[in-house]
Order: sequence, then C-alpha cells, then structure tokens
Amino acid sequence: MTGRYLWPLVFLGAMGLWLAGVAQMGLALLCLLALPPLSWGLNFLGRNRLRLSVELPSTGETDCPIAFELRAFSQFPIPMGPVSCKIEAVNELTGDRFSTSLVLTALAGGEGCRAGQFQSRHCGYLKVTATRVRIWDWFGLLPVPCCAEAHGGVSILPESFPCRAELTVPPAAPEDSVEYAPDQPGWDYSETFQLREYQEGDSLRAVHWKLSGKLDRLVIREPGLPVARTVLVFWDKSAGAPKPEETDALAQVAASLCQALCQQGIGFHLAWNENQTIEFRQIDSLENFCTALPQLIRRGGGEERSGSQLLLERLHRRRYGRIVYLGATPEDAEALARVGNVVALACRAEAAVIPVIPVRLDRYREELQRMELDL
Amino acid sequence: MRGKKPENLQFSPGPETQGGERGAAICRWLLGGMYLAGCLLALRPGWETAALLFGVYWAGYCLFGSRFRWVALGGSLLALLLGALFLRERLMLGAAAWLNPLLERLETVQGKIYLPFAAEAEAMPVFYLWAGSLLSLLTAWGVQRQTIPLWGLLAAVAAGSGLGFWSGWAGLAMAGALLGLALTWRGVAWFRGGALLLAGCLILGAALPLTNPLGALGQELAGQIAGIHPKSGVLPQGNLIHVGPLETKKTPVLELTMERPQKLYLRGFVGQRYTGRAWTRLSPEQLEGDSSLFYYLHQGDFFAQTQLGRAAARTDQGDAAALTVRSLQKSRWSYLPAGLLEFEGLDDRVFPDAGVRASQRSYTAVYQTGGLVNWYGAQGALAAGTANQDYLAQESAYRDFVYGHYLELPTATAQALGQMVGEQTQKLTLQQIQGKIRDLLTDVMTYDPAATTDCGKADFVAYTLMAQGRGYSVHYATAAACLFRYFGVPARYVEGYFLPAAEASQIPAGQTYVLRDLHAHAWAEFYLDGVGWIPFETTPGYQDQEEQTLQGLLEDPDSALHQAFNQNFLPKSFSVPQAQVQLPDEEAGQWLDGIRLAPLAFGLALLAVLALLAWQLWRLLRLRCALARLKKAPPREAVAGLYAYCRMILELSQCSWDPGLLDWEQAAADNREALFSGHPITQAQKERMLAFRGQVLRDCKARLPWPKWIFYRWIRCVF
Repeated sequence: MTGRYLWPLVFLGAMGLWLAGVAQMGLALLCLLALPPLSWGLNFLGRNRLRLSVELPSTGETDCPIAFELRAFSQFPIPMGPVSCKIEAVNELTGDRFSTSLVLTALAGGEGCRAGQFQSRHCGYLKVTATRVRIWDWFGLLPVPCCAEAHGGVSILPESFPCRAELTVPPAAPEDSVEYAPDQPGWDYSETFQLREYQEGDSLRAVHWKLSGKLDRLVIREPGLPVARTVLVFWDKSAGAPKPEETDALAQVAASLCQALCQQGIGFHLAWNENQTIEFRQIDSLENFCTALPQLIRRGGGEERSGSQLLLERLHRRRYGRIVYLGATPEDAEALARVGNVVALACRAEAAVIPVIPVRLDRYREELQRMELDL
Repeated sequence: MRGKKPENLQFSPGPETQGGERGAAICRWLLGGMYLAGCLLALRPGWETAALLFGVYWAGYCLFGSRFRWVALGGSLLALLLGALFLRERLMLGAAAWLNPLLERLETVQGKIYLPFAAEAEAMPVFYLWAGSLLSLLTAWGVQRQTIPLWGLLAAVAAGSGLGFWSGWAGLAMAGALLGLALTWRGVAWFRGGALLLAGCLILGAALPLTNPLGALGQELAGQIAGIHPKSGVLPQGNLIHVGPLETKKTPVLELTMERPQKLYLRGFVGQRYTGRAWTRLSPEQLEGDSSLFYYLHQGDFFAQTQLGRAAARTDQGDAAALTVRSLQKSRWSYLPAGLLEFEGLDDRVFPDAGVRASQRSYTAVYQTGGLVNWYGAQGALAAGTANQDYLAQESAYRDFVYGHYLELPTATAQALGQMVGEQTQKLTLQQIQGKIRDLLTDVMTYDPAATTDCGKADFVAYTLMAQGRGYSVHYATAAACLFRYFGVPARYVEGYFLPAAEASQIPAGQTYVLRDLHAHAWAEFYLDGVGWIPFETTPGYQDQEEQTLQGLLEDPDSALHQAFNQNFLPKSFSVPQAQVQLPDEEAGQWLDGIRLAPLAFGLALLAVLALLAWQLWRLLRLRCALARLKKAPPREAVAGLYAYCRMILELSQCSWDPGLLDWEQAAADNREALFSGHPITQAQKERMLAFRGQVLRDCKARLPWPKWIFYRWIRCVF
C-alpha cells in the first residue's frame, strides 16, 4: 500500500516545514495525525457492509491460465481505505497449496475488483478462499478485521491422451443379471426387447400369439439381452500415499482409460475412494463419464483406511470379470483378487502377485497408448 | 525482481479496477477543487472571479469526462489562445502587476533590488480570468485524464508554491489535493511513482527554508557546523558559540600589491546583528522596505562600502591609490580596505551594506590613503564645505538606516553591560564614550590569544567581561561593538586582515606582499556621522602611533581636529537609551541545547531524501544480483525466471508487444516446458531465453513514449 510508505515521508516533510516556521504546517500535521485514526474508526462502522466474492470458471485445464477475480462490494457511504485479504488456493485432489495476499479498494457505495490468474500443473479441484480480511485506514497504517469471506472453486480437468484398452469382456450368467441392453435383442425371453411384425425366418417360438390374434397378423416378440457389467475401474487415491505428480498422472490415466472404454462401447463401473467412502458410477457412454469426471477429481482419498478394504466392504459378494486397479502402489490391489481378475496400473511397480502395468511419470502418455489389460 | 521457483500452483496478480464510478468521480472532483483552491490562493483573484473560475473547473470536469473531451479541450485552449492574442497587452500588464509583490518578496529573500513593473492594478482582472481559466482547465484535465506530464507540472507548481513565494496555504492545499489523488486513485501503476514524486517535492519544500533559500539558513547551518567543529578557520566568522584559541600560523592567504604601502584594515566578514552567541547579517525581515532606500542611494553612486573613502576624498584627506589583491586560499569574502573608493565588484542591486562576497580570486581596488586622523578630520571638513549638500542628503538617509539597525542589543547583553558600566545619568560625547570603552576593556580584560570560550547558553559578551576576562581580538571587538551600541553609537563587528604600519613601511611601492594567517584580525567599527564606518581598535598590541596621535589631537583643545570633532555639524550627545531594542525572547526558545531547530529540520529532510536514494540504490543492487544469479542458474530455473522477468517488465511498463517483432510463442513454450514438464532443459533454450529478454528490453526502449520511458527506466533499475 503506497500510503504506508508515503505517510512517514509526508509527515517528515510537514514536520520540517513546521519547524522551519511555516505555521500552516501545524494544520497539516494535525490532519496527518488525526486522519488515520479517524478513518480507522469509520472502518469499524463500515466493516459489516463489506462483501467479498470470488469468481472462477467452472472448469479449467492444466498448464493453462485460469481467470480469477476477487470483488469487494462496499455499501458504506464513506470511502474506506484499502482492503487486504489472504487468498488461499488448495488443490483438494493433490494437496497443492498456494497462499498470497491481495489488496484492493472498494469505494463508497461501489465495488473494487482485483483480477489474477491461477495456473496449475496438476488436475483436481482448486478451491480458492479469501479470508483474513482487513480494512485499512486511508493511509494503510491501522487495520480493522472484517468477517467477510468468499469461496470459489474450479475443476481442473485432467488432460487425457489417446489410448486403446485391450480388454476381453467375459460374459456373465443370465440369472445373475438384472439389466438388459437397451439397444439390441438377445436371448432372454423373460424380458421383451421389442414387438415387431413377422419376417421370414423368424422362429415360431418368438410369435406373440395373443397379440397376433388380436391384431389379426403375426407379431414377433424379441427377447432381451442380459447385460453383464463385468468391468470395474477402481482408483485407489490413498494407496501408497501418492505424491501430487503421481495423483495427477493417475487421474490422466483413469480419464484416458475410461474414455477409451466408452469409445470402445464397453460399459463399466467406475469407483474411487474419497473421504473414507466409496463412490460408484455406472458408465455407459461418454456423456456419463464427462458428468462423472469432475466428481472423480474432486477430492483426495483420505489416509485412515485402505481404499481396497472400503471397496470390498461395499461390494459384499459381488464379483467382476475384470478389475482395473489404479493406485500409486499395487499392494492394496491384491486384496481385490477375491472379487475378480485384477490388473493394476501403478506408479511404483513393486513386486506383486498380480499383473502390474507401470505408470512411469515421465513417459506414461507414450507407453500407455495401448493398454494390455488381459494379463 | 523476485525470482520465482516453478511451483505446482502459481498465481499471477493482475491489475486492480474499480467500479463505483460515481463515488470515485465525486472524490476526484472534490480533490481537484481543493487543488484549484490552492492555485487561486496563489493567484489571489477576487471572490467573484474565484467563483467564476470554479464554475469553469466544474464545466471542464464534466466535459473532459465525456466523449466530447477532445473537442472541449481543443475549444477551450483555442479560446484561451485567441484571448491571449487579442488581449495580450492587457494580459501582460495584469501579469506584471501580479508579479510586483513577488519581486518585493524576492528583494526580501535575496537582498537584491528588483525594480517593480510599471503596471496598474486595473489590468489585473483580465489576467486573473485568463490565468485562472487556464489553471481550472488544466486541473480538470489532469484530474480526469491522469496525464503524467500534467501531474508533474501540477506537482512542481505545488512545490514552488510551498517554497513560500506565494502562500504557504496555497502550497498546503495543492499538495494535500495531489496527495489525496495519489492515495485514492488506483488502477494506474504510474501513481506509485507520482506519489513518490509528490513526496519528494514536499520534502524539497521542507528542505529549502522558506524565508531565505540561500542566506540565513545556510549561514546558520555553517555556524552550527563550526560550533560543532571548533576550528574551521582562524577567526570564527562571527560564530561565538565556541571560540577556540588563536592559532597564528604562517599560511599565506592574500597577496597584496600596493601602489602606496600603508597601514591597512582589510574588511571581510561584517557582523551587523548581535544575537548573544553570534554576529550575523541583518535578516530579510529587518531589511524589508529598505530596498528602495538603497536603490536611491546606489543611483546617486552612494555605497556604504565606499562612503569613508569618498568622504575623505571630498575633503582632500589623502590621495587615491590602487591595491591589487589575490586570494591564495578559497575565501567567501573580498577583502577591501576601509578607505575604499572604487571597486568594480560592488553590485548596485545588492542593498545590504555589509561585506562584499568574493566573485573572483584576483581584484583591484582604489582606496583613499590616510588613516584615522584623516577620517576624523573629514567630518568637520564636510560640514564646512558648501559643495557637499547632495552627499550629505544621501548620507543623512543612510544614517537613518544605520541608526535604525545598528543599535540592537539582546536584553541579556544590555543588562550585563549596564552592570559593568554602572548607571549613566549624563550625556556623553563620542570621545568620552570611546574613553570609557577603552578603560573598561583595559580594566576587565587581559589579552590572551590562547583563550577558549565556551559560553554555553550565556551571552558571549557578558561571559567574556564578567566571567572569563581573557581573550583576543574577537573578544575585544565584540565587547567594544556592544559597548558602543549600549551607549547609543551605531557599531558593528568586522573580521578581516590587518597590515600594521610598521610592516607596511618595509614594503616597497608596487611590490607584492603576502599576508598570512597571523595577520587575521577582528575589530569594531563605529559610525561617524557624515563620514562612515571608522575602525576602532581596542585589542592590546594593535594600537600604534596613529591612535596615540589621534588621541592627542582630540584631547588638545587648540587642535583643529578637537574643535571640529566636538563642534560637528550634527551636535550629538549620546546617552544610554531608555529602552534598548530587544531581540524577541522567542529566540531563546529556538535554541535547543545549542542546536537550532531550522537546521535540524533541514537535516531531517535531507536525511529522508538520502534514505530514499539509498533505498533505490539498494533495490538496484539487489536487482543486479538477482539478474546475475539467473544468468548462472541451471537452465530450467533460468528459463522460467527470465520469462517471468520479461512479462513483469511488460506488465509494469504497460507496453504492448508486437507479435511480429518478438518470438513470444517460442518463449512461452520454453517457459511451459521449464515449469511443467520433466524434460531436461538445454543450454540452447537458456541462451534463447536470454536473447529473448534482450529483445524485449530493446523493443520497450524503442517504442515507449518518453514519459513512460522514464518510468520504464526506473522499473529497470529497481524491480
């Protein structure tokens, strides 16, 4: 704040003039001594009329500037001095932190705005908070604390890379399935896919005799196709206490893998652990995944319990044909072998009994363009 | 510059913008009005004109904030220009009439005569209107548009006003308004520099004393320094705070070439006013109003410095002789003989009648030969002569000045002298007074060149006569001059060089003779009506045959000198004035344990300026070290740091970059790679970034306009 440096200089100058015999400088000295506490006192009246807001876009990209605006609104009719606040930014996924202080001014009955740009190397959810607001007197010497706060957040989406998942989806027994494909017929007559007119070659067993009698023409009932969700992609965010770079890499790998599975028409379950809970999402299409992605990168995993343990508790007796495990280390993935065939994608590929595909931080984008998951 | 380590999460602050334009506009309008009020205090128009000018300001403020601002500005300036063309004579008369008080102020401040302009006050309203309109429009434009050159002009006007040439209130109002604008007006990075500029102007205004920029404060400061460091010369130059022993060295100081070698008193420093602890020159306040007297005297070729010589020449006392003086040491004064007749270094614009400042190291003066007998004898001859009426009329006017200024004594001094000389009930002649002074000094004082006098807060004369009782020429001269004043005879204190008669008789005519430090001497001079300032020697060892001869003639009732001296044309008897002219008691309060507050203020202000300069220098050195560290840093850190530096330079100097000139894409790509990728950064990339930095700096230098270029240079030094 310029005034903080200017006030002593001006005070010295006015004192010098006064000592040299300029009587008017006595008034100037009086003003210089009286104005700071006067404006400081006025700030006590106006501090409850100050509001702050943080404006951020909803999403952003890694390594790209993200526009940030801090606005201060003052409804106090008397001008206040500079407003300082502490800006804290936390990437809730990777734990990256940044804090700085900003100063802006809100004139009487108006607003002030301070812009800026964030840039993050890692994906995640960037939560920005403006706290410890202080309103200073006109010369920036005496602060008054203010209870105004502001919050904002932006999802920094991971940058996916083109990849193809080499994965054979094993079939499931029909009696186990409770879901049916919405877009193609199958062989399960307990569920009707659609009704249509008879075409040459159709099986007589498929004729809907009752409806055909009513309509006086042959109507075929096509059976449904039971769908087996046998692929689980699980991201264990807490395994191996990952570093921010590892979390970022795993997020990119998860996003790329899910995107590839969607593009290949493979439906799957997507699960991750956060705050000691397991989040499940059913992904049938790319749109489903885009909706789930911001929530996937929203928070970190927590440290108390293993994600695999939580997942096992959640799955109970359910089994999967293929479980793709993503984590910093693969050791927790071994526990999941009870519920399916596990293949792990890990940053630190230590010796394990399950197949591990290493995620090397410096070249995973090149090496994982083709993921052999049928190991 | 603050080098930044690449981090996972970075933040780049941007500029601040403001909403609430209405509040900001009102604030600026008010502060601009305050500045205009200061301008009008300096301009001093009438109330009606001031109200009209505020209306001009308000209209200008509204128009310059609209989209028609350029039309409004052009139209108003055109109107002012046309007004200046068609009314130029009246404007010039009005300006001249407005400047006359300024000339009076300059006379008081500088002690030089400035002839007033022949202008009538009737021409001033036109000038007020024109100049006031210009100020109003400039203020409105500067407040609305934040133009830096205009701000510089406004700050300079505020500083100049603050120097007191017009009004302290004007400067205060203007400076306060500019300060308020600098504090409250954000959104433009210039005002950090503008605020510092204003602070610097205010500090300069505090550093330069308001009443006498070059004179009194400088003398006082020199006196204070001399007081702190006792020996800054053989004689104290009037500063009696600490008088050390007389060190008679043989250092050559003056080289004389005399046409007729004789005993000489060479005047240098002349002390006109005794403060109790120093001899100083008369203050500007005391000389206020006397400039016209000296203008009249100088026009009649009457100079106080040459009065004695010309009085003697008029009465054929002695002959004219030439004297060439060459200073062998740096000296503030020209050393001129008491009987000076002609000297080309006399400035007829300088109206105090004290010593003559040295303007060159070698100079020639013409003086009237002769001595005390001749000078005393001139008084009677002048009175008897019939061709001296013009001279006597001038002398009479000057005599009034002398009697008005050379009788002052501080109260403490007068009280002490009263105790010393006892109660005086009868009137005394000049001769009687001289006798009393000599007797008193002989009784009370002992000549001691090794005497050191530290009188503290006490009066110097009182301390010397009543406590110490020892001293050398400085003590004797001060005491004698004060005693003269006590008895009602105008007197002053002089320092210079003395060539004794015995030594002068050994010098062949026309031969160069060197005066040394041991010739330095101080003496008292009293004013002999009609004649001028006569040296009065009281220091033991310096009174020679001439004084004895003079005394003999004065005491001999049959001598013509006795008759003329005691029957002068202005019968005068002196008595102790009933009420001594007292110096203000506030003077005592201004002495703060020996330290004068005004030099202290000057020192504080100077310290603040030096601190500011030191801070800038420190930042410059820190920047240089940071840049050097970057050059030697590993490529990754160097690339990121240099790129950040280039962006900072452009942002702060608000210089837009030309994509065609600078390879921003490549530089940005290198920066991203350095910050966010794990790839190794090569030396070639570092070299490329160094070259890019050079391009940016050259581009900024080439394309910035000069006001921004100055700010850009400041950024280059300290950021």
